[in-house]
Amino acid sequence: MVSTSDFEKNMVIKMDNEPWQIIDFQFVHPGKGSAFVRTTLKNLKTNKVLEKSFKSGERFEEIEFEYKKALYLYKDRKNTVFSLKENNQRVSLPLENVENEIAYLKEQIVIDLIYIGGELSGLNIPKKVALKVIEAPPAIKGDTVTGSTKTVTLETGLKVNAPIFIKEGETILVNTETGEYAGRT
Amino acid sequence: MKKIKKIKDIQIKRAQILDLIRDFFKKRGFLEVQTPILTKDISTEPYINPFSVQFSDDRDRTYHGYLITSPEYSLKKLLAQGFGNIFEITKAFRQKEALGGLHNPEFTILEWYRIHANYRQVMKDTEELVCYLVKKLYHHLYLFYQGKKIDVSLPWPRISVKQAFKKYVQINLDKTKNLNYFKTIAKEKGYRIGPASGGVNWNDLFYLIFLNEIEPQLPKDRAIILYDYPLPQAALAKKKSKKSFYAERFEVYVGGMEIANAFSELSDWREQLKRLKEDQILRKKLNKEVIEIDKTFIQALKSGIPLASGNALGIDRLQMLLLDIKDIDELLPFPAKKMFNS
Repeated sequence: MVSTSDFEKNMVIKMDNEPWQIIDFQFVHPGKGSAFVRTTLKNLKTNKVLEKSFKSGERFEEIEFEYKKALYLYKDRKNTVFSLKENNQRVSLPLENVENEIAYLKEQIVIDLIYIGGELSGLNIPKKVALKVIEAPPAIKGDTVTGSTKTVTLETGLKVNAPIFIKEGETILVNTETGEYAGRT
Repeated sequence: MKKIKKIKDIQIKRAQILDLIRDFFKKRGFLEVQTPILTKDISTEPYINPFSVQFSDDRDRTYHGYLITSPEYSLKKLLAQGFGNIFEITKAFRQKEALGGLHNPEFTILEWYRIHANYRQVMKDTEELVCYLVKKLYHHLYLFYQGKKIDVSLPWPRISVKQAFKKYVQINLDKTKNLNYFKTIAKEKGYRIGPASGGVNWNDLFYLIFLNEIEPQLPKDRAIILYDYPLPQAALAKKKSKKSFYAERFEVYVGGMEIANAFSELSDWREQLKRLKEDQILRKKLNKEVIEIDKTFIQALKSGIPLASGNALGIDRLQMLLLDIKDIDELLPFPAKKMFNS
């Protein structure tokens, strides 16, 4: 068991039987009651992020986990298939477990797979990924209003709003938390 | 070099903000006072942890005292001596809190007291002070904090704590006077209130719900005032009426950050003494040092203080907001975290 005073970034705790990773935490001392810890947690199975405040001193079961580097190979109708860097072993994750990440997964990209208790349970998508634009409508002449955007299609099929100057064939960065354009590479 | 320049720029801006705060109060006829940082007695508040200090004189006689956690007692003693509207900018100290983030064990606090006034007039002072600072620094009535625009124009939205519980979590706070009822609601909401969480009291339940469900829903693009706190949350504030469950206390949130805590001062010495004794009992229960009640403070109330209302405002946090700084360690030239961990 770990107490809130043992909290560290990236630590994984068990809450409602799910593995939650501590992304960030900050102690708050309201002065008129016990201290609390405002915590940002990410569910390692669903990648859902939420903020929760715990009473200082609350205890949790800590979950041992490890990352393994893997190459993303392909997806079929049911699974996404990876090859582990350490031994080229093929492993797969059901599509429903990577529902939110699949749009950012480009074949041959190296990512971290998450193992909890020796079992593959999810993947850690980087905060920003680089993807190539495969379809971009040309900018309309005279449309010089700053901040105007257009919808472009990326190599994984993902569609994002990007500034009008982005052209087909360019590679752009996408924020995987918000699904928004995050700059040029 | 760039870093040094940044630190210097911040210190120049901090000094400018302090000057502006002094201007603001002096223009309104408040007297600036200086009360001791090292005192013999201190607030008994159960959840605030003072630095206890020992020192000796030239004859090796030893004394025991504290570093103030706020100048409140001294300022009220001055009110009892017949002072009018007063303010102080001083250092205060609290321990068992985080180093960095929104906390530093030594911090700068502004307190002001307005006589013949209740908390509504102090709400007005607070709004006007923040407006004055933002306007002087930026020539408009909004600021950008961590990429978000915060509107500070008047009047600020005001919501009572009771309304907030009703609006955001559909809880009738009146009914929580019954602790078991409050516990049942928290349990139904899925909060862990068993022994694993170390047991909970009324204030714990209040904060669990407030921090998890209410604070995140408070507007972040405005400065707002949350007022009328239930009695367990208002040790030094005056009750709304004799039988009320609420006291005249308010807090100020700017862009979601709490920067000030104010109330209509409790002037009834019997009621005050009763609450301080309750604090002592709770401190004992929490295995904390039982702090002696400041007799001269009770004496001051006994001799009579005028109807007054005051506010305590964290200057460091206000400066962080005004200067768009996320961590107090970037504001202070010598943050405790760095000093004590190197």
